[in-house]
Amino acid sequence: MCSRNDQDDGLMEEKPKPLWTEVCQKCSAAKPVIQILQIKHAYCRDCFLAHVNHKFRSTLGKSKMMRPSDVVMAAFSGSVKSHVLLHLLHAGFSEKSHKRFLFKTQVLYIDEGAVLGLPLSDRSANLRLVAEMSEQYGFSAYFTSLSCQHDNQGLVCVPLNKDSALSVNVEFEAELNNLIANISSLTAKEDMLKQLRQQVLLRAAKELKCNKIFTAESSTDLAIHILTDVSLGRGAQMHHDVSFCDDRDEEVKILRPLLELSSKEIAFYSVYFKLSSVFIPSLCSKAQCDSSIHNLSKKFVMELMENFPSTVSTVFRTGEKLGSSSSTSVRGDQEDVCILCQVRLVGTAAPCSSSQATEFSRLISSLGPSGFDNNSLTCLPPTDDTFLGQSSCCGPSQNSETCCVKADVSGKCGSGQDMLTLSDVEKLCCYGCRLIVHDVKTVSGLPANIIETARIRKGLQSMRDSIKDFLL
Amino acid sequence: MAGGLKITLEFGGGAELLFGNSKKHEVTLPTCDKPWTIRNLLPWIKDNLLKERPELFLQGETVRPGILVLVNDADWELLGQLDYEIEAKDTILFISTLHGG
Repeated sequence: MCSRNDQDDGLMEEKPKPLWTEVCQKCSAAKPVIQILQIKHAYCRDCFLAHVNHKFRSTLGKSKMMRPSDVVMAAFSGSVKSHVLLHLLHAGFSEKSHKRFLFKTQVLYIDEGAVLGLPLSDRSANLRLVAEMSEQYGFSAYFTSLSCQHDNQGLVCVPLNKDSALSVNVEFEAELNNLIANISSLTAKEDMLKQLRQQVLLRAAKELKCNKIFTAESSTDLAIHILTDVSLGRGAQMHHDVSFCDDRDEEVKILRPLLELSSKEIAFYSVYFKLSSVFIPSLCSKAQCDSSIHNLSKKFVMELMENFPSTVSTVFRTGEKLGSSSSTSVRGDQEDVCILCQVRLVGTAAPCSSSQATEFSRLISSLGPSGFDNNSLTCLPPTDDTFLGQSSCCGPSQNSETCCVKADVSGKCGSGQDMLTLSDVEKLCCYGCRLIVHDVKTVSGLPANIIETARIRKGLQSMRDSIKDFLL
Repeated sequence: MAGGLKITLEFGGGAELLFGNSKKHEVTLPTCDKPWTIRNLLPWIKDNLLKERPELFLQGETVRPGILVLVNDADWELLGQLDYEIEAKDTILFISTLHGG
């Protein structure tokens, strides 16, 4: 008989309460419902919700970045986090006059169903759910598709309402799928997807004339990003990926107003406001936790949360403090940024740098013991002194005569603007993105705009190389 | 206690995927001599409700890190976690925070 519960209903009070007090530590009145890790406080429902709202507003306020004239695009995926973001924004707009947000907000949903191989019916259903969710807040909503990056012209965003139908461009979707299928490892797939998503966001923001983008990363996500970024060789750009403001793009800033909130706080907030969410599986859903670097760092951070809760915020705070000196310096031309993630490239590597050592060991490994000779070294990216003389358009070939002969005939460098190879693209990428490109099998799968930029830059480079000898 | 213990189990944040994509389950726990705690509820869920991949929901005797448990909208960490004694008409919500996006 387990009738113990029936007999003494008042048993609750006698139970030893582990660490927490009986009442909310803020208002000392109501019963606490949530234990917030960082503060080590038990809050009641009302105090907790006020606390979340306050943190959100103070994050925006402290940044001193929001202007009344701003137009913000809130990235909305239908997930719990992004719904909480919309709800908080909505709350901010319904405040009394002196506290009300003055900027304008639009909502953008990106349909990624193609990559995940969802049937069209599921994707349309998701779209409808997302439309319903955004409609209840009265923001004007738009949607676009991840595959629009394969389209060089044309409008990207379509207004989203209850009746909007998902139109699919089969050709572009196939290209996108081809690109993802061409990448062999899940780590690189996820990383590529992240970069693509970022580009679509930026492009859509420009089209919708928004100068700020809000994304809904929590501090827990950012702690995961920090560890992933370091493992992926993106240490140099981590600062952009995890701080409040990503200002890589000159016109549009990406802000992360939820970064002071943990995933737990966000989940509780959504439960208390009964916020619905659409669950759209991602590439790594239901995957083994060791299937990608991202999943591994996620597992690591989650286990930290469980056993050493304050360590997560240490990871996050550390990441926040890291900045790169180049990020504050004046922007150069668009030439020296990575074509995938727009991070500033570190021009030529210093002699004996670790990136050079990596290149070297990769070269040796790929050539094998017999294939290595004096010439092989010239394949390495040039450093300041050693390899400066090598013309990059001619690759490892020592004989620059052949290149110039061809150049005479065709009017441009013979190694060709139309013959874009993966190694050309790789040269225009940062270290982290190079790892993605390494995983890509053919160049043709890359999005049209990336290929286009790569072509233009390669053309400029070869032009520069061919006139180099005539310059004083 | 012939009818057993009637409780509501809810799953969210992606955890519902492991339970046949259904978010809400009204269940009756069979009568037993020990009081029902979350500690012995979890293996019961695993045997009776979980459709696939138990390692994505459970780890050891508790839930996988990253899955939050709410009993009647309150944090289970305030209620003694695994040792919380389940009462009739309790609503237990498992919400996963593991999914990005």
